[in-house]
Amino acid sequence: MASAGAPGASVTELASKLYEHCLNNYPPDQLFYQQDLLGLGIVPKSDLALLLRCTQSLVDQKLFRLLQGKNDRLAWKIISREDAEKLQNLSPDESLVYNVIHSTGRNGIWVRAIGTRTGLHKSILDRCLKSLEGKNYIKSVHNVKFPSRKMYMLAGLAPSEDVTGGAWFTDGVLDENFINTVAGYIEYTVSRKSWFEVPSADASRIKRLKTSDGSVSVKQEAGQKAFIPFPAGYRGYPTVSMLTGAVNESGITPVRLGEESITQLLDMLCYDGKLVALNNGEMYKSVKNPEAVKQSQARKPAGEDKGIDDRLVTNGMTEAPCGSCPVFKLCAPGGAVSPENCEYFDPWLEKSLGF
Amino acid sequence: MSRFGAKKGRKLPGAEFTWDNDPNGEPDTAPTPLYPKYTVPQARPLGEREQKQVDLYRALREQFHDGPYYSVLDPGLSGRRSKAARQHFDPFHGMPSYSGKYQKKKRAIPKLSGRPYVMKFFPRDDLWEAIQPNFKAGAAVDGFVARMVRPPLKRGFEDDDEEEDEDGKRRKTGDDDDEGGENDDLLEPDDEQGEEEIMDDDFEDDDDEMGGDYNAEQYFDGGDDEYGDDGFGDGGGGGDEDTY
Amino acid sequence: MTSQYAGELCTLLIEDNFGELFARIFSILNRYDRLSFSRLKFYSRLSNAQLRHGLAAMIQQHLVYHYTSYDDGITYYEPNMQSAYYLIRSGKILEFIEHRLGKYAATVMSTIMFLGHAQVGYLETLPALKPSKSDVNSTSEECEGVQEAEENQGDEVHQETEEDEKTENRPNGLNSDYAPAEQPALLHPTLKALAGHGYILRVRDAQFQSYADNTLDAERTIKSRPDIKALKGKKLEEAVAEGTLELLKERLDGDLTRGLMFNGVPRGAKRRHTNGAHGAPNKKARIDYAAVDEDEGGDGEEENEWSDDEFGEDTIPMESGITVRINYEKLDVALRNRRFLELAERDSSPVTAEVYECLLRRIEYQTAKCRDNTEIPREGEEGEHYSVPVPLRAVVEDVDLLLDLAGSVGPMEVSQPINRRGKRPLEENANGAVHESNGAQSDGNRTYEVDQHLCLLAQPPYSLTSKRMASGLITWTVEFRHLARKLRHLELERVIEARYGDVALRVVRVLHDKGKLDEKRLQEISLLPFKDLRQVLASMQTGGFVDLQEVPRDALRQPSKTIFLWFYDPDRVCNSVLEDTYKAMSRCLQRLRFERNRLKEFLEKTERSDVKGNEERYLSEAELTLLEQWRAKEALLLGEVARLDEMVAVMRDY
Repeated sequence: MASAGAPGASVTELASKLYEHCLNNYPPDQLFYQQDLLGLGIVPKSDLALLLRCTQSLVDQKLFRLLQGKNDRLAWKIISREDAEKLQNLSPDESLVYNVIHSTGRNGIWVRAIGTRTGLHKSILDRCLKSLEGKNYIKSVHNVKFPSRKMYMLAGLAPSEDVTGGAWFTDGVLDENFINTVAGYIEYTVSRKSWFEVPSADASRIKRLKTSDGSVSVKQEAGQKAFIPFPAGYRGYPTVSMLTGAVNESGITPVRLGEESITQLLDMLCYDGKLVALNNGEMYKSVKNPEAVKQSQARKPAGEDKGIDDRLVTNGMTEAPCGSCPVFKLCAPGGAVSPENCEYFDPWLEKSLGF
Repeated sequence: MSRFGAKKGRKLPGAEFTWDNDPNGEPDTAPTPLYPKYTVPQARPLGEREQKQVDLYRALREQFHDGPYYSVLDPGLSGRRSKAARQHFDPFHGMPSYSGKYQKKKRAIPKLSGRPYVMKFFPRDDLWEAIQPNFKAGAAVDGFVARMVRPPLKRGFEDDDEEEDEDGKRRKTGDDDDEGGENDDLLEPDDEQGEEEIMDDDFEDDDDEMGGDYNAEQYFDGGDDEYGDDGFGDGGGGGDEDTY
Repeated sequence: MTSQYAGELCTLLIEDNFGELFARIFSILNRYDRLSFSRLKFYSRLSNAQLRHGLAAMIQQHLVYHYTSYDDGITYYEPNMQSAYYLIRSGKILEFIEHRLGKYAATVMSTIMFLGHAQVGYLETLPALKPSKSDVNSTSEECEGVQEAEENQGDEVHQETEEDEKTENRPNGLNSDYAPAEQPALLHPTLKALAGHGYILRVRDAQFQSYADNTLDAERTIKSRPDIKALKGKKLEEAVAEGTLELLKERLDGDLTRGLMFNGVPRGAKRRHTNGAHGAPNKKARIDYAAVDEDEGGDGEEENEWSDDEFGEDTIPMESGITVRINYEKLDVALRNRRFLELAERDSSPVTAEVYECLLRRIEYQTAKCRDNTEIPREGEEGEHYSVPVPLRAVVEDVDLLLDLAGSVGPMEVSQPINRRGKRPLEENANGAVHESNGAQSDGNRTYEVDQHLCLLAQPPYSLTSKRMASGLITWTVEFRHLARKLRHLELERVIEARYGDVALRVVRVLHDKGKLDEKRLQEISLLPFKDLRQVLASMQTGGFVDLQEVPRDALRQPSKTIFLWFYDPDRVCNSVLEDTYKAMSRCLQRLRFERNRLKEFLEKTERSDVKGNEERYLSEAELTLLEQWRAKEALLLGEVARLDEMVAVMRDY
């Protein structure tokens, strides 16, 4: 059979057979050891020497990439024809650089690291990178962790979250608007599932509350929806996966967001005191009811200073003229700045009393 | 920042982010005003409960002010620093006026009489004399007896007139006792009287009780001259005085 | 409390209340801490008379500690900062007492404050405490209890009068011909109520000495005991420390609640839900297992109310020889509970808050003080401290029967929204009568529902309650330290948010939660743009709210090889905010004094004995307006100081 043919031809043939088989039956990332390739039964009689000749031929054609696997054993990975074509046009130096960059995958690699790994002189390296970038094989990426480093990765890859900082970064810069949009959406979504809306027939009863000591003020106003909390142990609060699904379906995000990204945002909302994580983050509950969320979200852009609304903000210190007084540290009775000649007390009194 | 320069111009990690509050702003070299512009916060109006608390505080404070302990250092008309006071006498406001008789009286010394004290709560040597004028520092004392032995004073809250009458009577007898007794207790009568004077610094009272020769300042001068002689039988505080 | 600003503040408070003389003495003592009479005289430049009378009066007001040394027999004086500071809280305390026990009780309380401390026998003689009609009619939560006690004592009035006469004849010189016969009938139950709640305590000699002096004294006593002398080394140390604490406790103890409490509730303390408050008919389901009075004020209830007192001593008046004073420690407990309740009110329904109030009330009765150690506890160094466990059924008893418990908690499943709610006993006509028909089953339901509300409170973020099973019974407690810390953090966060914005607040919370972080990590968690993050960190660092730690990675400590970690130290921040708060309070009071001086002439006119009370007649319209404005101004400034005091309480006392 094949053994009768010329060895040279048979090697090329066998090699292409081997390549086709690997390409069609294995994922592109598959790492092949000698045994794996022999085991395919393509190389007759498990002829190791023949196999090595085949693989060398494939490596020469840039269809296989030679790697060192575990225990320093030889291993190979397949390269797509497309990529192989690219590689075939590269100079050896460029090829070297390309391989190093390729090896770091979606993490990208710092220029200096390429230099140390290839041992190329800086000017040569620069030329190679320029040429590769010109051919659109590689791209420079912005790493949020090392914003000052020049980093490269293959042009076709999307940078990993470590590099970009996650879904919330656009070109290494935190996308505030995007974050706020999604966060607002999440808060409202969680809130809707965190409160039980009293059917309007029942709503009137809520108002009939004891207010004799004046300490309990009736919060609901006529015509407003009434919300009451679910009992402890309620299981219907939204989970991360539910929220991830909801966000991705909502159409507010151009890219699909992973659960990690959503968790990140949920944590942030917890730090803001808007959500509360239950059972170590299994479920999330909103502190405000949907109406209140709507109101506070509507107010935000309107007036920045008027935002002295609800939750924190006020206590004795924040209200006193001294609380954020710019010269508080200098203030002493009888001093240049003193309570007697203070210029802030009068407007403060006037502001509150109206005279 | 020399260390920034030392690194051959290479930027420190993160140095591309500014620390300034406003990276584009001009450095502010203008002199800072004493009171820079600052939007004072707005205080919430007092709530019902807070208002009540404030009112109760004020009521108690007023009670203190009207009570026997409230004392000032310079009680107006009867001025303490005799000469200085005379020199700086204000002929417009310093003169007693008709409306002055309604003016709130201020005392220079807390009035201790008029209510019982639990003597054992007070240090004996320094203060018992003040609380109980007929207590003699030198006398043999059983601290716990004194708790019961109250001066035959009057009880606390009576109509003013009556109280003053009683006070007057008691004081007189007290004075007699003291004078008849010892010289070691010189101060006490002064204290008691001086204190009462201030309280009774009324025109009527002056006329009625003191006659025309009352001069509050002299009382205090007298008191001041005692400086250094605290009348202790055992304290010797006056002697110590100089050494400090 | 030994800071410069606290001293300044206390001096101002004393001046505001007692005048310059006290303030002078206090400020000198504050500056030198501990002085003998002669040195005090030297520094203060006051006359003997001023000093002696001043000191005596200040001791009476607990503003000065004194200690007579065993060694030289000299008496030393020290400022009592705590008492001086509490002057500012008087309004808050009186308002609280009035709210809780009625106007008359507040009057009694303020009289005791006015007197510093006073013997019960003396209080009996005071016309100010003679009940007026309005006092009797005042309605407050528990004053019915007092009045009822009075009624119960109706038979004894005569006997009591005799007692009073005896009292008057005591050799304490209080031969008052004023004490009206019926007066102690109200005074004594009120005093007993105050004592039973722990709001007043007995004055002990040791309370006039500073804690340090008392400790030294106690140590000396213990060390001289023969059994202790026999010990050596570590054992000796331990025995002395233990004995000292015990002796201190014994000497300082002024507890008056003993014998006035029954099942953890002060005798005569009323449920909050008396019928009077709701105007409902005075018929109500009687809970049989209510060992404690399920009182009503109806006729048949009387034996029930006082049944446990059949041969008790409750009809006996307070011993007139007892000297009483205000128990600030206990009042702090009550005021702290109020803060917890406010926290609950913020995020919970009013019904839940009311249930919480019932629990807190029960806990208050059995909590003597906010914490054991006098020092402000450091973050992370204090253990847990749970309140007494209160049985669920005790809370159920206390909850107003008319309170609609079911209507404010949602269903367990959204799909079936009409669960129990549908067949709730209280339908449209909320009426007590419905309850009777419901009987025992309704009680079971109520227990469940009250438990539900308490469970809601136990949830994060505040965890206002926590459930305990004690031998098969459900009990509820409150973790004091956790909540006190929460309050503290909230106050600090408010300051941070107001000063640096909500972005800063997020950053601080992240740092607080995660500890020390470098900027990158901080950014990833807080999701803030670098520029904002840097700015906010820089300004907070300037303000002393966050700090930076350098961790060099090599011996050369090159900046490029150094990790910079941000951190937030709540202890330090709390300390500095506390100082600032004292200072701000001082500034407000100083400004108030300044404002008063601006209007001095006018205000003196309004205080004239002829004008006072007849303002309408003597003052012009403009003057009346001015007076009104002045009062509003003063109220705002004092109110502001009171608000600052709330913060001090949270950061220092709770």
